[in-house]
Amino acid sequence: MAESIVQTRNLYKEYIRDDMRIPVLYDINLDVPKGEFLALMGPSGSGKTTLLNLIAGIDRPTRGDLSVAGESVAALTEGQLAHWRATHIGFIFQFYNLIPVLTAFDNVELPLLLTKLSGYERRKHVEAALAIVGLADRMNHYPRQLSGGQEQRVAIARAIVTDPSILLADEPTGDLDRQSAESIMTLMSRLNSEFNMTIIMVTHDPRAADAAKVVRHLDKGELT
Amino acid sequence: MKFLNLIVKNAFRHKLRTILTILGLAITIMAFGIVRNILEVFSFSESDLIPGHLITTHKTSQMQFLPYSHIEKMRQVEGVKAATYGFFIGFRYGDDPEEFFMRMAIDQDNFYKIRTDWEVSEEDIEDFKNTTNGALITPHLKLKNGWEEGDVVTIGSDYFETLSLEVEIVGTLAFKREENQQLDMMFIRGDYFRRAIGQEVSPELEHQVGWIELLADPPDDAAEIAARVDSLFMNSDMETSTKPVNAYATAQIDRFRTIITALKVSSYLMIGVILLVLINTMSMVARERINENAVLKTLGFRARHLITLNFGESLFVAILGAILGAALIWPGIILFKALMPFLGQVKFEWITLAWVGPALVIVGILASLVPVIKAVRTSIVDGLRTVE
Repeated sequence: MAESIVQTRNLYKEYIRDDMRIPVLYDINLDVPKGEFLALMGPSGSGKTTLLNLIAGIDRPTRGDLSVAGESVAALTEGQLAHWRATHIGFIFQFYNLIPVLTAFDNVELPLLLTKLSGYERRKHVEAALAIVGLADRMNHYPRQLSGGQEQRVAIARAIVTDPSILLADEPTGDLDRQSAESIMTLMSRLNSEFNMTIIMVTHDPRAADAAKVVRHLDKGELT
Repeated sequence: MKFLNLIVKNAFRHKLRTILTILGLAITIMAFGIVRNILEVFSFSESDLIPGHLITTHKTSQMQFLPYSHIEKMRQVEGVKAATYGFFIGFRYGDDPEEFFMRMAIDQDNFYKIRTDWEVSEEDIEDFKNTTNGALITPHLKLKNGWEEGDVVTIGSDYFETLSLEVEIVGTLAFKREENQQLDMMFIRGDYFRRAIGQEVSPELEHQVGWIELLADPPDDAAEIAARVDSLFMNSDMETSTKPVNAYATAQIDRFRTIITALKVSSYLMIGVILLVLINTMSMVARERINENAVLKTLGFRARHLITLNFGESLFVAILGAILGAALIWPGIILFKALMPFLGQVKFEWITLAWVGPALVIVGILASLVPVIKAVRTSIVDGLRTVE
């Protein structure tokens, strides 16, 4: 059995809205081995994005244990968590979330600005990442000059440019047409198979989930 | 420096809004600069003063004249090294209300013994003494009106409206104080003026003067010497009030105190306006970038990075406004002087930039507080949920 890169034990999360406690996840126990391509599926409100956010370290569990890339994420301070995210997490959003005033190159370079790499080294990394996603010839294009699929490819390049331990994707094909979605899933499968990248993807699209090696379902906050 | 590209591009994300903000800042800074430069006109330093320089006016009112005979009596007072007198004649020149310059009558035989803050060549002093209707003019007035030595000019008086004097320009009188070098002024001979008002207005005026200037020696005893002078005329109908020039100048400036205070308050309010303009823009930025800041945080950006980005953007816009505004101050002063020539001595003071620089940094910091607090406080999850 491969070493677990994500391990949760009795992970519980609730939100407090207007003095009301709203439980979202109940006692989640999950082990994700290194090199896995896991799809988390479930209906809206099932808690799949919340689980992804907890794994990404952008939200904190109410209780339970969560270990990602060998780190007990809940114990980190905000500053430590930010540094940990920059080092270990690559995040792909449903709506790409590129900075509109920056070119594809500049967008991909953003996470590298937090490192000690020189300008030359950053350029090499960015060019490599854009080449992997097939957009080496579009690096000087602005997001508005790219199609939805191309924008998502730039977002993927931004997520992998730091060579993170784990790639997390929240509905990466949710805003794309079928052809673009297939192309994105092919790219993600390639990242998993060729580069042995661990991927956890939230989706409610069965076709997207087909690209994953393992599919887990969440329903009303429980892993089934 | 790594974030400079993002700061600059963020600043011009909404070009029209940023340009309008920069223009707003620039115009306000220009107005601020002009007001501060006007205020400089009302300031003087001890180094501008002649040591031991005293001014004597009528005790009751500065508008009342003093007997000419007082001058000789004052010369006899222990500690009075020199004495001279002056008369204010008027401002208006010709029928054009826009055309004016200050005219004074001065004692041609003694003024240069005291007024070492004026620069007149020995040749011009001699010509002034030897020409009954001679007049000295400031270089600025000479240049402005294109007058040359030998030109004969007809002048009037604001006080004695029927008075009309023909004077011959014999030389120039320049102020050593840089702030006064833009002044338009004419100085005519005191005896010529006194004789003229004596003949045309009232015979007794020939024996009166507007004020008397004294040089106290030693200068450190000026106050004591002033008291000695005033005691000489105590209980007469022509009592005097003698003051060191700095006290006299302060008293003169006090007459404008309300205007000066209003101008000072206006200049501070302008800083407030700059702040509000920038806060308004940065508040819009804060609202628009909630989602984007959450994305940056997801990528690993920390609070200090977001502070750098927001403060950098705010400061960048403020600096652009400051540069443009500072560049407009000088043309603004020229325009201002063209519209209001009576404040002709207003000129660009570099000290104004010393005000603008720190003020802009403070404004930049304060204006960035709103987006910084918003960016740092909003959780990533809440930020990502925000739809722009």
